[in-house]
Amino acid sequence: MSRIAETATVSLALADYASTDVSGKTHIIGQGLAVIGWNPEMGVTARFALLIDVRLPIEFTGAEFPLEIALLDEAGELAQVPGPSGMQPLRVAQVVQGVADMTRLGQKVADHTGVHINVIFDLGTGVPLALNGLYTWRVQLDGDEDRRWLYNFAVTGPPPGPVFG
Amino acid sequence: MPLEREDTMRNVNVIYHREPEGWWAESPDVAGYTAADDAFGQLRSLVFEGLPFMLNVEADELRITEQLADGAPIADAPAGTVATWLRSLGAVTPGSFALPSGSVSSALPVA
Repeated sequence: MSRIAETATVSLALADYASTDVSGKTHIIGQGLAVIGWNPEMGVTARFALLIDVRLPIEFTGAEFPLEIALLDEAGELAQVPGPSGMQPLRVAQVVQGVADMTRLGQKVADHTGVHINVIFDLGTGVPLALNGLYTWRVQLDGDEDRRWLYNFAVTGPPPGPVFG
Repeated sequence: MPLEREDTMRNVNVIYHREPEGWWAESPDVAGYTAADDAFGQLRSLVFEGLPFMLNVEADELRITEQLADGAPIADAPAGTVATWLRSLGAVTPGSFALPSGSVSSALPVA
């Protein structure tokens, strides 16, 4: 339905930590997570980062489109997380714009390397997800519901300790 | 008696719909308003230009909040921190869990 979604190459990854510097390079520690630890004292996961890398053909230079991220539960429904108005889905769309640096790289190189969009989502103090829960990050581009990119992960850890008193 | 500054901003919610041929927008707060375009970015420009004109207000007198038709709120933070996304949702507060941080980058890094 969307030429952007149809032609995009999208990769997702989880890591312990990730950040981007001013040059656009991504610095990652511990990439390749499929299981995230859980802190029984805080009731949240260990810290982690979601990395989304989108590559598009050069024809989409300058194109603006929404990149939607959603957290799904084991049933494939929107996972609910605590918010000020109670439990609510963790879902957001960000308007992104692909840029190819033709001035610096030249037309030939830019045509070859295409448009690059890099999103890092660093959840530095964890997320209050369920222990032993199975979750999926879902990414959609340009409102296209026919194409979606998924990343499955699990939350494991020690069971909560006994409560006295 | 102290004067209270009145908030003169008008809040308008805009919902974007994806169709096979392109995008269209509507607003539950502005009866009869619709706009359409092949590309999302162009449609968004139409919305931000057209709504103030239709409501006969200055652009800076409008507080436009946007969402996709599936309910996902749109947070615009070009090359900024992703924390603003979830902060704008209200889904993430210090009382629930800490704000994530991150970035959106479209620069092509060179070694």
